[in-house]
Amino acid sequence: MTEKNKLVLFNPLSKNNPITVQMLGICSALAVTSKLEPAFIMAVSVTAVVAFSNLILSMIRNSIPGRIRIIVQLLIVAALVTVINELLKAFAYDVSKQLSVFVGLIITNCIVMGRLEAFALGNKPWTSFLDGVGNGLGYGILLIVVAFFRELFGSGTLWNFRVIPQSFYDAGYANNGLMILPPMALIIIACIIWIQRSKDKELQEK
Amino acid sequence: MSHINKKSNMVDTKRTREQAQEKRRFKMKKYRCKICGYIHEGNTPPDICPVCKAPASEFEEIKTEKKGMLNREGNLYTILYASVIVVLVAVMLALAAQLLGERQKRNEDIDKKRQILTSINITSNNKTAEELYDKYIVDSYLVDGNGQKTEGDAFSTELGNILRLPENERHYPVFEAIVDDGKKKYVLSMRGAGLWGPLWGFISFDDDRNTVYGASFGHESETPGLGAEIENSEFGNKFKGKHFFNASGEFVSVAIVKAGKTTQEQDYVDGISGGTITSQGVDAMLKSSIGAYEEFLKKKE
Repeated sequence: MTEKNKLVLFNPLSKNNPITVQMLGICSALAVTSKLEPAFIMAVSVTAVVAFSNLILSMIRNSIPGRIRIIVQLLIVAALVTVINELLKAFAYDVSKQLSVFVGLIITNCIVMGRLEAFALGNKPWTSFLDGVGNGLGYGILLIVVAFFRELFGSGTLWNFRVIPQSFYDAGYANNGLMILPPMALIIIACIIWIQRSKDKELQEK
Repeated sequence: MSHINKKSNMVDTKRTREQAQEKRRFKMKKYRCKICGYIHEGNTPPDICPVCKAPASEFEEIKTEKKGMLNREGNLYTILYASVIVVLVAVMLALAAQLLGERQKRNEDIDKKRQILTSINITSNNKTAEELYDKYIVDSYLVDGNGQKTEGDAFSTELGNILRLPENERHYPVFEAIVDDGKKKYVLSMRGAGLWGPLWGFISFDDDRNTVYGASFGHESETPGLGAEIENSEFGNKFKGKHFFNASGEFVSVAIVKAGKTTQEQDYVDGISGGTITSQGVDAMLKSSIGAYEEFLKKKE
């Protein structure tokens, strides 16, 4: 793997993270992070969709008329997600049941459109594919971190297993109801951005 | 003097720049004189060639793209491109729906059987569902609003379609099950609306047609981690032993309340915290869907 491809793949995990630095995909990050399980499903599916739509768009990038490129991008993403969902319904019904709620969220995810427009339109297929994988993973890592805190303090569970013992509740501990509501996700994301910027001077705006 | 020259130079450059911009904006056509080769820019050919005085008929238009391909930014190419890609995607989606439809239908049926089995507290997986369904569900039929049995196939009846009919034409599906201890249970079907989309569920009654034996819920698009929690068995299990009729035999349904709250007039279960609208949807669904079976439930054998 060349030096450039390495950068394309790993930069989105930290210095160019889609959520904390590019500020993309915040809406879905609020919606699906109240539990770890849906956050994980969303992370995996977005990674797959960004990677493959980047790949497809990059392959046909030289033939797309500039004036309708956004519509073409949207069409590719929507068709890709729908076909995958249909295939899952036929061959892996349980997975598709889990995913059905996310289909709309994936198609409208700004990361997908953002990467198509900003990267895949101007780069070769393989590099674009790596960019998609990198951004999907960068998004996923953040989703899982946020979901970890929200599920732990909001429901007292992790991946639906109880981790805060009953004796705590008997002693007067209560789950934080605010944690499972979207505003708390925004606050957690803000804290992560704060920590990241205070450590990495390059990211600080003057 | 030099000052004025400078100024007029500036004006000139400005004018040429504006002209160039205008040209770009309107995409002026180019015409070549067939006789002397003079090239004129404009939307129409000039009346007379300024070089050889040939008339307008001697001018021919120069197409800007000479590669033999359509111009990528042109209207024709854009329209063609859009049409082709839309048709391609449409064909692909239609093919997927056609080829996979049968398998999908089978999976949906299996899923429905699993939900019915869950409502009588029997866990199944995709492989065992059909076998277990045939074993436990001994009879199924439709009942009308007066609790009378009518003709029809209960399993293929979608409650969502039934609810669109006028009230006196509605028939509701009932499944009879014999569980392991030999007792008869009645499984009733429910349908309602959640926050984002439809909710549904099955609820089974003991043979007193009042006490809940088990329940299972499903949804199309409730919020993951919040409203979507109704499909977990944890939520369905809370209904066990609840009563839909009060002590004097009136139909009162089972209420969904906020955790920690109580009601006096009827049995209740705790709703999903953070999923208030979905919980209210389940509450309304129980009232309306099981309410439709009221006459059937009042009949004792």
